[in-house]
Amino acid sequence: MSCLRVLILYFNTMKIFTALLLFFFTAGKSHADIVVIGNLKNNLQSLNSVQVEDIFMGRTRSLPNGHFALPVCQSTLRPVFYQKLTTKPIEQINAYWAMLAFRGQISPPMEFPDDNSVLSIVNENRDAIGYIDSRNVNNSVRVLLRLN
Amino acid sequence: MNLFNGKNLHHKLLGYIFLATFVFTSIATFISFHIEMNHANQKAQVMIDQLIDTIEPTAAIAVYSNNVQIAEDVLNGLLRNNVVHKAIITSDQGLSLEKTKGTQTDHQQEIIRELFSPFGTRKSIGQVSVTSNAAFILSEAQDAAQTNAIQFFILVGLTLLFMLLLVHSLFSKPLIRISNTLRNILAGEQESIEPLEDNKNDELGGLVININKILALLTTKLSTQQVLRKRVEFAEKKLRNIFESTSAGLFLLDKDGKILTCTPTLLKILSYEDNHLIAINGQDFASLFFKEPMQFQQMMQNALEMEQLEAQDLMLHNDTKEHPLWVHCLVSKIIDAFGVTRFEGVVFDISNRVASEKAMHYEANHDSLTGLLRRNAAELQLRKHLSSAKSASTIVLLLDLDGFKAANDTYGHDVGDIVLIQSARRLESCVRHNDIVCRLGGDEFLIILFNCDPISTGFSIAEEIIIAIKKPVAINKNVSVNIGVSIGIALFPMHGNNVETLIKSADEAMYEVKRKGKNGYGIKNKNGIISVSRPAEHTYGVRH
Repeated sequence: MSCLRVLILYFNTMKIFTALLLFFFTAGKSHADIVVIGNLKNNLQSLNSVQVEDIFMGRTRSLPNGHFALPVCQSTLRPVFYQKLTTKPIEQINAYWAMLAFRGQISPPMEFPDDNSVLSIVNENRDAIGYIDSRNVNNSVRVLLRLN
Repeated sequence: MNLFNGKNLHHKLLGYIFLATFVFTSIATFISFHIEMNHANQKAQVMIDQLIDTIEPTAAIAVYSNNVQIAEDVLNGLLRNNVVHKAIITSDQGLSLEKTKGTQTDHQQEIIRELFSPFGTRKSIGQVSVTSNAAFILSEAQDAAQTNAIQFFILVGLTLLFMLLLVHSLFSKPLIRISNTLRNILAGEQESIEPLEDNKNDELGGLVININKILALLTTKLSTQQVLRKRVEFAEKKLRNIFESTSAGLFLLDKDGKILTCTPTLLKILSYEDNHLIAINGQDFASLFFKEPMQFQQMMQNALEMEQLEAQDLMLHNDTKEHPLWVHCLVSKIIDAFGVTRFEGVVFDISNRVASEKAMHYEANHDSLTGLLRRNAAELQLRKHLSSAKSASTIVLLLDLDGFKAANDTYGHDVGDIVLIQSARRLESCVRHNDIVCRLGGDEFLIILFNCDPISTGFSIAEEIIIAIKKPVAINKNVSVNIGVSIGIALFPMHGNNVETLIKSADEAMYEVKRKGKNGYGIKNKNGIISVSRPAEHTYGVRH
């Protein structure tokens, strides 16, 4: 009997341990935040998540300050970005854009392969809005929103 | 309505059931339509809900992205469904799109669904509103109700048909058989109904058994009655024979003497020409048959008052001089079972008896040779007349032929008889119609002149007689007899107030004439002296 108790205790301890390990692992991975960036010349100081969502989902084409918005996507970060922003999987987002694109009135934001190319586009265009990994942010752009 | 007056019970039944089915189906269809209408409305709502479920994500995207094209696609998609009449999409960003199909006949509630952003936030960004198509719902309900009605009708119809067949085979057929058999029984071909094979133990079998019982009872009763009827018929025939062949004419009259019924013999006796017995019913018996209806009416009156049998000989209406018809009639009052007073009577033909009686009477009163009245009869009549009120101015003439005895002796009795007959005729021709000429016997005659006023008429008649008798009586070519007459006259009441004194006075006057030369007439005057007169001689010539 005592042997069985020891066994159950052991299993319970192992369970807690495994759970703790998993927690730390995922927390570590999610530390890679995504930041929404904008041009420094744009007087826009920050955006909330709804504003970002409206811009990136094509609901609005203008920024809160009235400038014509030019959203750009980073290809590798795109699934995570949309997941964080809308809580929807990327397939659904793609379908959404496909539907809108089919009607021919609007097309999804342009895509760029990496953070650097996004940075350069944002640097070059006053009204461009993009997103990159927070670790690659520099002073040439303004962080408008941090998604985590 | 012809259906309900059908000859067959099952046709009648079918008619009623059909009517009931029609009514029930109508009610059921009406209710069913309302239920189906409700159902269709609910169904339409569910359908629209489901439709909205289907288009919701797309509509949300359209509203979210403010995309008119998508919104239009959504609305077109919605309107492709028959249940949708109108669809509207509105967004809080100013998008408003409405599409309609067909015309709305009835007001329908619109179903509104809030649209939320497809991404994350549960915040209303617009709405989609759909109105159902009333005409579609109505036609759906109608179709459903119609289908229900047809199904119901078919079901009930089949049940009916089955019931009809059942009724036909279980009731109608056995009943028709019973009915036909009963008809045959009435026609006398059969005496009882054969038991029904399939209905031995049910009500119809019981009916057959009961009918057979009644039939058996009836047959027994009928045969008994037949025997009785034959007896009655025999008795009636006997009575009828008696009634019709009786020699007595029977009759029944009502209170007023109208004929109620009578035997054929009565009509024969009464010599009634008309053969129709019925025709005389209701006619007055007395005036129809009798010469003097008053007599019969008096008989009825007497019978009524005295309550006894009245009997009398009566002369009939259609009586002729040659053949007088007489009947002996008996009448009595009766009171029938209903308390009504009537007269019954009987009539016997006595014409022959009366005829012979009359003949006897005639022979008794009349002289067989001359046919004149005999002395007794004449005296009887004179006596009667003298006692009546009209007795005044009666004249009696007593005659005796002069020279008759000699003629009788000379030529014989036969010639004497001829002379007597001839003289009798001449006397009759001289007197008036009502006067009486009588042969007293031998060559003596008596003449009675009634109402002979003035008296001179009597004398002129006497003169005429004298002249008439004086004429020769031709016996044959060679022989003619001459006789005369002596007449004695007596006047009533001058020469007597009875027959005997009058005749005596006349007799005396006649003998005075004989004494004074015959061929004249004599009459006693106030002093008792008899004066004899003769007709003037010249009158002979005139008469010749």
